Amino acid sequence: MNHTSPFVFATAQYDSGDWDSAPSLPGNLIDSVARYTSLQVAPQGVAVPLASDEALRYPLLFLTGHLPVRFTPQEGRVLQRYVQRGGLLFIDDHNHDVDGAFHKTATEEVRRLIAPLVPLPNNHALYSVFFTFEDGPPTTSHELNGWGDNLVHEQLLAVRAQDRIQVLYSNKDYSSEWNFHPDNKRFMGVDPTRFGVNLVVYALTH
Amino acid sequence: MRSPTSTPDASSRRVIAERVARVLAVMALLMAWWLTGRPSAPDTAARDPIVDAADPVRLAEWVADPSRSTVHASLQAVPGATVRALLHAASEAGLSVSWSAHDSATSLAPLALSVAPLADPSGGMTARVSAPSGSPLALADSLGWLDSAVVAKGGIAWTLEGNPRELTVASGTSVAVATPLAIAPIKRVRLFAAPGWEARFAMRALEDAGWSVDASFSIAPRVSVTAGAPARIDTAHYAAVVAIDSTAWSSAAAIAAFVRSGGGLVLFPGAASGSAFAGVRTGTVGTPSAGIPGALALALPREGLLLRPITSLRGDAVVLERSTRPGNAVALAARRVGLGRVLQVGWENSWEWRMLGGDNAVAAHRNWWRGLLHRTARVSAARTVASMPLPGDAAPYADLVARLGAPSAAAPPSDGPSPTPAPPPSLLFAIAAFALLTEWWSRRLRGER
Repeated sequence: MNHTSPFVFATAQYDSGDWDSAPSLPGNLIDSVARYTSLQVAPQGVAVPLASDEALRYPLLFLTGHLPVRFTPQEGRVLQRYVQRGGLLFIDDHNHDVDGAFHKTATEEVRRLIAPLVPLPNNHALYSVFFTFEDGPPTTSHELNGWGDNLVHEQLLAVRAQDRIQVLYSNKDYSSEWNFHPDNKRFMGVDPTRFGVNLVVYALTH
Repeated sequence: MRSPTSTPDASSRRVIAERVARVLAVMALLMAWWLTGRPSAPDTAARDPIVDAADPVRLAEWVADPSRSTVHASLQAVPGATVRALLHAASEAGLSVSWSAHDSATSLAPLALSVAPLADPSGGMTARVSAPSGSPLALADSLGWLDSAVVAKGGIAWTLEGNPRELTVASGTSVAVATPLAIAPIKRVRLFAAPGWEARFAMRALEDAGWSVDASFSIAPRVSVTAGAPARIDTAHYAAVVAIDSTAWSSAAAIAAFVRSGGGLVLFPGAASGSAFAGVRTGTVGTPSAGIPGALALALPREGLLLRPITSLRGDAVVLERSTRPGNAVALAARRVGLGRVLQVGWENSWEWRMLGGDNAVAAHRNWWRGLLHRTARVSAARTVASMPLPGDAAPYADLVARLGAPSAAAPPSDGPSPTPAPPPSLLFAIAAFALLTEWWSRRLRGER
């Protein structure tokens, strides 16, 4: 018998900002994991308060938003414990703007609580663990949409320990790219959520 | 000058006393002259030498003397290897060699030291000492003292980091020395698990402890993600296999063969259930019992985990841990299979301990995994030492007994009567001088010359 509990996609809920700015993203990513892999995955995601130890039950956490981020002291303590114990926090800048409020505050909070973010090499295992992305993080259709910084962000940022990703940070706005109903994948030539599947597989196997 | 109180009777007694003093002086002088002229008795010395472990040359001269047929060693301490070998050689050469403790039996306390390498990539070893309960022990390596302890229940064990070249344990005058085997441990572990948090954190704990973990995770039909470089399951590649769930079932035959040839197997409930590992497991997997809420952060964190107890234990299984829940179900049990060992675990989802446990949960979880491997993993092919005919320096008292036999209750009888202890000549001269001075003083007091 295989007693492995199904994977549950968890979104971090924090006091400042708009943590729930991509409401369709969890369901879409869950659909992709179930569609492309044989991993056991819970059909519903959860939103867990970052100020609660409940967050420690989900070793992969997704965090997004547009607004300035300032973690409360309790959120900061839980976040530090989460990372020290081996959790992987994925932060996506919903503004895709390196000069935006979310980017400036979120990266500063990560630096203050954990460590500075540094570019993740584009040949990292994350980009080949299931689907292969030879050029690193896939470009999103939102990066050049006239909003944000209007840049294609060549690399993701990360905090790593012994090559294990502790915090992964993206300016590519996957929050917008993946925020659609799964049924709409049939109209797309290439499913943009494939990189999200890599993220889940990487978290479960590394 | 006469004493005014003197009487005729008193005078005659005084004269008698003076003559007795003179005779005593003469006898003392004669005895001293006889003792100094008497030849020494070689039998006494040969029969009762006190062996000085620091002076084996002198002992060699004693036992090499062709005039001796017996040697009795009166030992103040358990002698060193050279002296033990010398006495053994003398015994083998036909000399009748016996021994006994010189003064008290406590000075010859039995002491034994054994050293076994730990199944750990970072090295380390377990030093086990046997000695009488209450004995103070001091453990040292070539660089100095490491620790001290008092023996309880006849023995004590130390787990040591690093790989000292030589270990010494001392108790009173007894010293035992052991040289650990120089080994090159196999540092690889093969993990069988479905992709999930338990696999992720088992790998982390083992890798943080220094192990290289090889695994192959099935992600989709015909798509697997590998960690490390999975190789053929044999004792040349792996020290142990960790089987977490049913993904190991398809390799059960190879894993069982691996264990029989000396490998270790850590078997979790998901793998132990079913029939694939029925031939090697320690028992069957019982009804699950949910973890105690909140216990993960308390003193017994594993009680916060799901437990699938080990039931219907085999006769040769050894219970290593029981749950504290009602019924005290078996949570950890081990058994030998062929040349290897199987450790069956009843706990599940240990990753929750690491993520939700107390402040030291990461280290505690890692050390728990490390301990599972210590108990099962194969150390090296050189682990079994060729049997030695004698215990040697690791157990000097046992070595002494093995070489020379049990201690004698007393020294063996000599050919002639035992010599009477004689006072030293200096004492006899002092007695003679005192007697003559007394006699002279008494005569002067009564006016004689």
